[in-house]
Amino acid sequence: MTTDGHPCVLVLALGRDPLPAAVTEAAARWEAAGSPLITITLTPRASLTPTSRQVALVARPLGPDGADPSTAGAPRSTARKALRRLHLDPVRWPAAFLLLVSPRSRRLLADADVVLAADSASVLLGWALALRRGEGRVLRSVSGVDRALRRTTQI
Amino acid sequence: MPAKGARPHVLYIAWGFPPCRSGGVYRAMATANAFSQDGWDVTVLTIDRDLWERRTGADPALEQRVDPRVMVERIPFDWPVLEDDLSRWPPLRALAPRAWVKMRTKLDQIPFPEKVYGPWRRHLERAADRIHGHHPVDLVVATTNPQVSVTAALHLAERHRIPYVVDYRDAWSLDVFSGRRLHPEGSRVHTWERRALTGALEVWFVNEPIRQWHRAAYPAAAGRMHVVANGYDEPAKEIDGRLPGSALRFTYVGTITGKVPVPELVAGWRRCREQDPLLIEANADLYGYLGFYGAAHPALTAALDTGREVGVRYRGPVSKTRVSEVYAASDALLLVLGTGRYVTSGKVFEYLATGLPIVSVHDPGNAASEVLAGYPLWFPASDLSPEAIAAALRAAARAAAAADPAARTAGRAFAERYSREHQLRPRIGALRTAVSARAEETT
Repeated sequence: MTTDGHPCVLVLALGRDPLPAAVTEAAARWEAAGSPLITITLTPRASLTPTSRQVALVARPLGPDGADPSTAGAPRSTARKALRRLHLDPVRWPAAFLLLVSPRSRRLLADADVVLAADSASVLLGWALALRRGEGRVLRSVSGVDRALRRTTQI
Repeated sequence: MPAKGARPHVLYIAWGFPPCRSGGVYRAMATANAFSQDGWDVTVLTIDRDLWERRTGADPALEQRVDPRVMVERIPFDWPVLEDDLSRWPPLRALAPRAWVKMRTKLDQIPFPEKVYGPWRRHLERAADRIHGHHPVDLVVATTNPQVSVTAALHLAERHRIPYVVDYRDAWSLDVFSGRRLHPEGSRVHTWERRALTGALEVWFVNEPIRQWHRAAYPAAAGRMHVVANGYDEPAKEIDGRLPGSALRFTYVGTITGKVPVPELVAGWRRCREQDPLLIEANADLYGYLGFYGAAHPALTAALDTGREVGVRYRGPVSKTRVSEVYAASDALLLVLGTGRYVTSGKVFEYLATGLPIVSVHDPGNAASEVLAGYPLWFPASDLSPEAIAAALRAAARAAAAADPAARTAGRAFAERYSREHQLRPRIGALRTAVSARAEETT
């Protein structure tokens, strides 16, 4: 879904934790450089940039600002903390399932030029996608996306 | 062994070599060049360019400064933890990323007790054998860190009795910031280190406090330990000279990590701007990479944001080839260093070569203070409080505004003892003598 020669960046943020500041800063940079930006999230969260699109797989839970409080850093439940200590992100399997049964999300994923798996809950799905899309298309870091964008723009 | 009159062959092992842009690369490049200029055949064994170009950032201009007679052998080096392309991740990593990283860290240390770098040992040893088979090596110089570099030196020493030098630069077992021992006696690290140091023809350190620590820790090798300070590569350009009435320009050049007390500098700068009319319009320009891997420490980012309001400007990295222009446009230099009595840093020597006023913003007990003691334009902060830093900045501002040519000439004369050539020449001469003597013994 390249727009006017600018590659489309899709940010997968399927977890319920706040994203690192590096991601929001980079998102603003990519958009300023002309790349359309889409975020797929499990629950609604604050937009990465004022103009980027967001697709939430589940409409709830919502805080007063219309976003899931957990994505803004509200304390996690004891059960969630325990699962995370075991390195088992509790939401990654249901999130992956919900995304795969959503035709709209699948279409967005298929159309994106570069995908950032922005949190650990997005890694498994991102990896499965990377096996189909090949090298340099699904990245785990902001600097990886920067490199991929440079390459895509040069091509 | 070199035949009589033949050029001796030194194998120089350096993980970081141009186009790498890290701070330690200048010493590696200067050492390889110095051996070559002294009439040695030099083979540098280093890693593929991929890591610099894809991950940490490269400085291609640096490669132009390597003596063209130096042969550079590049061998693979993997850093899988840094791999961010998910198509290259193994299934286990995708399923349990944190567990995979923990497991990988343990596996990396099986061949050699050093995280990340351990697996490089087998590439190094194979390459050292291949190079020696092709062009017999008379001396190995292994520069650390990473410490795994010593494995190739030990390998050739054990197989072919080739003498070797360990250029330690900083330290392995000593934490240069806290001064405490990082690896206890009896640990694998201690065993490797003792083996590497006791078998070495020479061991080099960057300053006297680090050498003293190692002399006490490894007395069997004490007599072969030397200080080879980092030094500066070439005299600085003539300073542009300040236009009367123009704002003073203070400059910092170096990697800006979380250990560098930038928040303290900003607080002191703010204080002196409030107190001294000479500094109201002055600027402090900070040049260098933010962190070693392109990510800034959060406290640092916040300090730089605050500093912008009072004339502290982050100007980004500057190539080594342009550094002299930056110095030439400065009125005074800021030496901002992490705390530690064993910390010198390489930039102190470059700073000295300019003959400009130098403001020290670091613990007075740092090894850098020993280097600077006696420099006529040195203005050290007595501690890291805003008042002490402001006082040092004010004194330096007076000297910078006066721009006394005689003081600068005296400063440059003081610095001559720290030229890179002055540091390396005696050691390379001694090594040539040792290699020649060994050749004569063998024949």
